[in-house]
Amino acid sequence: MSVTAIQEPKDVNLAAILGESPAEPKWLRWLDKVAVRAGDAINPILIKETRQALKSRQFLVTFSLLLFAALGWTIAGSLLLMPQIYFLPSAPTMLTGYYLVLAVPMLLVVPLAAYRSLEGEIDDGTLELLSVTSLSPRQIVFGKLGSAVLQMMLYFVALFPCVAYAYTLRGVDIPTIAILMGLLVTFGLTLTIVSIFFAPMARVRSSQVSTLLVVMALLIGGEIAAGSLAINLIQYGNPLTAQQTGFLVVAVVLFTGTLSLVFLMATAVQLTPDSENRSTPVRMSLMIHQVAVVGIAAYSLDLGFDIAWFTLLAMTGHLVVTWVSVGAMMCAEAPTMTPRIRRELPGTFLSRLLFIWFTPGPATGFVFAIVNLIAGMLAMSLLFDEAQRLPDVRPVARMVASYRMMITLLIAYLCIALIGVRVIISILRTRNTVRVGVGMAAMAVVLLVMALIPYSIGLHWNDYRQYPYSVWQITNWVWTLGLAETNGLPEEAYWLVMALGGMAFFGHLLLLGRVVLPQRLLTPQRVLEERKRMQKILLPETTPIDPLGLGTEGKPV
Amino acid sequence: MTPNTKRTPGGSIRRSSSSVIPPGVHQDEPPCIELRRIYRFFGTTKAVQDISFAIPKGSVFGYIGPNGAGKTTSMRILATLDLPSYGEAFIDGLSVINDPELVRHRLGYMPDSYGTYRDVNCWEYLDFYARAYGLTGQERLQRLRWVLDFTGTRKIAEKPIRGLSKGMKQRLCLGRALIHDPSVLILDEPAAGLDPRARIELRQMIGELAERGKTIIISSHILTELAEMCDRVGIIEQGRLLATGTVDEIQREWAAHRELEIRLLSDTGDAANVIRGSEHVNEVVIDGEHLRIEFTGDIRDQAELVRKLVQAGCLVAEARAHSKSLEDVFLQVTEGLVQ
Repeated sequence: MSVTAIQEPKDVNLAAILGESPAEPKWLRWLDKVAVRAGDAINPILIKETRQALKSRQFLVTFSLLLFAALGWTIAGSLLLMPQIYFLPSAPTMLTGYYLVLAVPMLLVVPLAAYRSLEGEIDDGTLELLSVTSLSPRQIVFGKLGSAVLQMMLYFVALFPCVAYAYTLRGVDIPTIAILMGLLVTFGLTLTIVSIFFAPMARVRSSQVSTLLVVMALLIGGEIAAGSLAINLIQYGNPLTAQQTGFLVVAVVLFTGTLSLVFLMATAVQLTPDSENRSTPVRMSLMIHQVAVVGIAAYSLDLGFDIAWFTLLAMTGHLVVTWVSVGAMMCAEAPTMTPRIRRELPGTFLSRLLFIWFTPGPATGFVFAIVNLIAGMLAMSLLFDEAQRLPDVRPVARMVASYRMMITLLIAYLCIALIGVRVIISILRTRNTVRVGVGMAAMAVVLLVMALIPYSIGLHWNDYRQYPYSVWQITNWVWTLGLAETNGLPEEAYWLVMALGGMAFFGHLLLLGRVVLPQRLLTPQRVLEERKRMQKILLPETTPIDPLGLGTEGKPV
Repeated sequence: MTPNTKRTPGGSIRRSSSSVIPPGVHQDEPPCIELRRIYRFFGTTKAVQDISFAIPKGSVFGYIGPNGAGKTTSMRILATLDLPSYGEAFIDGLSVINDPELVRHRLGYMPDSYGTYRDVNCWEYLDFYARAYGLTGQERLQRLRWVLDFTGTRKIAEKPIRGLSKGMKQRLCLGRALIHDPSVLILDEPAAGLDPRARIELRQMIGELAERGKTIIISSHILTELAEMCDRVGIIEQGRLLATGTVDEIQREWAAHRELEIRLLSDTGDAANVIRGSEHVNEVVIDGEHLRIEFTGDIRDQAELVRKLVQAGCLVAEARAHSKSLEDVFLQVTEGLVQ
C-alpha cells in the first residue's frame, strides 16, 4: 500500500489520527498527547460503545424525539397553563411532563440498549473475540454500564434547561428536584444493571425471547414504580423530615450500590471461562451487601421505633431470601477444582480455615450461605433487642420471640433443603452440564416436596379432612413456620427440626474433608515470569508530559 | 525468506520437509503449538477424540476435515475459548487451560464468522481491538499503521464495516487478529466464501506472515485450498485425526494405487500377456492402442515394468502414471461421516 494514498483529501482525518499530518502548533500537539493518554486510560469497551452508540440510529431517533417532546411540552404545557402561569405556581405540572419525557429514555431505552448490546456481543460472536483479548469480563461489563451512564448523562443534560425553566415557574423546591433526579438516576442505573445481568443468561434463540420478555416486564414495572413515586413527589412534595430524607438517601445508595455490585459481579461471572475462579468475587460482593444491609438496619434505629421496626423486618426478609436463593445457586456450582483455582487456594492453616469458604464449589458454598445467614440473623437479632430499648417502643416482645423462633427454624430448614439441592444436582451432573441457575429450580422442587408430600399423606390418612399438626409434619416448613409465628408450635417439633438441621449442617461439615484437603498448587516459575512480563507490557512506565519543553530533569532543552 | 523456503507462483511458500517434525520425534526446541490427547464431549456427542499433534515454530499447519469434523472445536480449545473434557493443550509451552491470559497475548484468532460491529468504521474497529489488547499511545498507532498497510485496508479505513465486501471484511478480520503482533495465528476457514482473487490474496498474506516467523494453524474443508500454503496438514473426521504429515507424505501414503497408461505401437494383446501376473500389477485393461494398468508399485517398479515390455519386443511409445488427486486422497481418507 503506497503512502501517497493518505495524502488524498478524503484520508486527511486518518492521517491526522495516525499522526501523519503536517506539523501542528506545539500546544495542539500537547493537547493531543494529553487526550491520547486520557483515552488510553479509559476502558476500551466504553470508547467503542460510545462511538457505536452515538452513531447509531437508535440514539439519533431517541435523542431527537426527546428534544422534540421536551420542546413540544414546553410550548403546549405553557400554553395550556396560560394565563395562570403568571400568577400561580405551575412547576408541578410542567415538571411532571418533563419527568415523563426523560423517564422513557432513561428507564426504558438505555437499559434495553445495554441489554441488547451485551446480548448482541454473544449473538454475533464478538464476545468470544473480546474474551481472547486482555479485557477481563469485569471490564466488559463495566464498559457496557459506563456507556449506558454516558447516554443517560446526555439525555439528562439535554433536558436540564427544561427542568430549570420549570423551577422558575415556582411550586417545586430545589431539594425536591434533586431527590427527583436522584430517583431517576438510581432507577435508571439499577434497571440497566439488572438488564445487563439477564443478557448472558440465554444463549439460544427461544430462551432469549423469554429473557427479553422478563427484562421488558422488569423495565415497565420499574418505569411504573419510579413514575408513581416521582409524580407523588412532584405533586405533594417530600413528606419526610430532613433526618428521614438523609436516612433514605444513605439507605438507597448503600442498598442499591451493594446489590448492584452483586449483580455486576454475577454478570461478569457469566462471561468468565469455567477454568477460572468464578465464585469468589460474587461471594465477596454478597458479604459486602450483607454488611451494608446490617448497617442500614442499624442506622434506622436513629429514626425512632416505627421506621426501625419496618426496616429491620424488611432487611431480615431480604437477607433470608438472598441466602436461600444464593445458597441454592452455590450448591449447583461445579465441584471440580481446576489447577488454576488450586493455585489460588489459601496457603497456611489459618488462612485456609478462614478463607477456604470463598473458594468455588458446592461444599464450600453450602457452608458459606449458612454461616452468612446465621451471622446476618445474629446481627439482626441484636438490632431487634436494641429496637426494643427505644423510647417510643411498642409492645413487640412476643412478636420478636416468635420471629427468632421462625428464623432459627428457617436456618435449620435451609440446611436440610440445601442437602436436597446438592443431591439433585449431583444426579443431574452425571449426564449433563449443570448451570448454577438450575440450583434455584432444584431448591423450588425440594421446598415443594418438603411441604406438599407430608401434607398430602396426612390429608389422605385423614380422609381429606382438616387434621392437627403432628411431628410427622416437621418437614412441612410452611405449616411449621406458620405455627411458630403464632407461638403454637409444639416444643418437641421445634427441637426435632433444629436437630435435623444441625445434623445436616455438621454432617456436611464432617464430609468436607475431601474438599478442604486439596493443597495449593505451586505456580510454575515460567508462568510467574510471564505474568511479570505481561504486567510490564500492559502497564508501561509512562513518560511525563512536558508541555513547556523543560525536559525530564526540569532543565530547559 | 528463510534458507529452506521457496516461493511458488501463487505467492505461497513451501518449506523443505526438514523443518517439519513428525509427532513423537525428539526436538531441540519445544513445539509452538501442542495438543496432547484432547477429548471434548458435548453431552453424548464426541466432538473431538484423542487428538494429539505438535507444530514447530514458524510453520503453517493445515487442518482439514468435512463440516462437523471437530476442526472448530479443537481450534476453539487452542484459542482458550473452550475447555477440553480431557487432555492438555499448550502454546509456547504455556497451558491454554491453566494460563489462558498468558496464551491470549501470543495468539491471534480469526473465527469462521467475521465478528464485526454495527456503526463502526474499519479504523475504529481495529483501534478498539488494539486498545483491548492493551496497546497504548504511539505503539498502538504504529501497529494500526502496519496492519492497515499489510492488509491493504488503509483506503477503506474510514468506511463503515457494514458496506464492505466479504474479501475486505476478511482482510479486516485478519488485521484484527494481527493487531497485537501475535506469534501464533489460529485461522478458522479464512477462505470460506471468498472469490478466487481474494483467495489468492489471502494466501499471499498468509505466506508473508509465515515468512515473518508466525506459527499458523489454518482450517478448511478443502484439501487443495491448503495444499499450497501449508508445511503440514492434518485430516480430521468425526473428531479423530486420521492422517498427519506433509501433503506429499499423505498423498504417497494414501494414494498407493495408481493407474499406469502405456501407449504401444505393437500388439496390445501380447503386451498385456507379458505383464499380466507381474508383481504390483493388479489389473490390465486393453483400450485401443493403450494399456491401462492398476499398479501398486513405486516409480522404480514402474520403470522395471516398462523395461520388461521393451525387452519382450513391445514398441512402447508412451508411458504415463496418474497419481490420485488431492481430492481423491481426501475422499479416500475421510468417509464423509458427520456427527
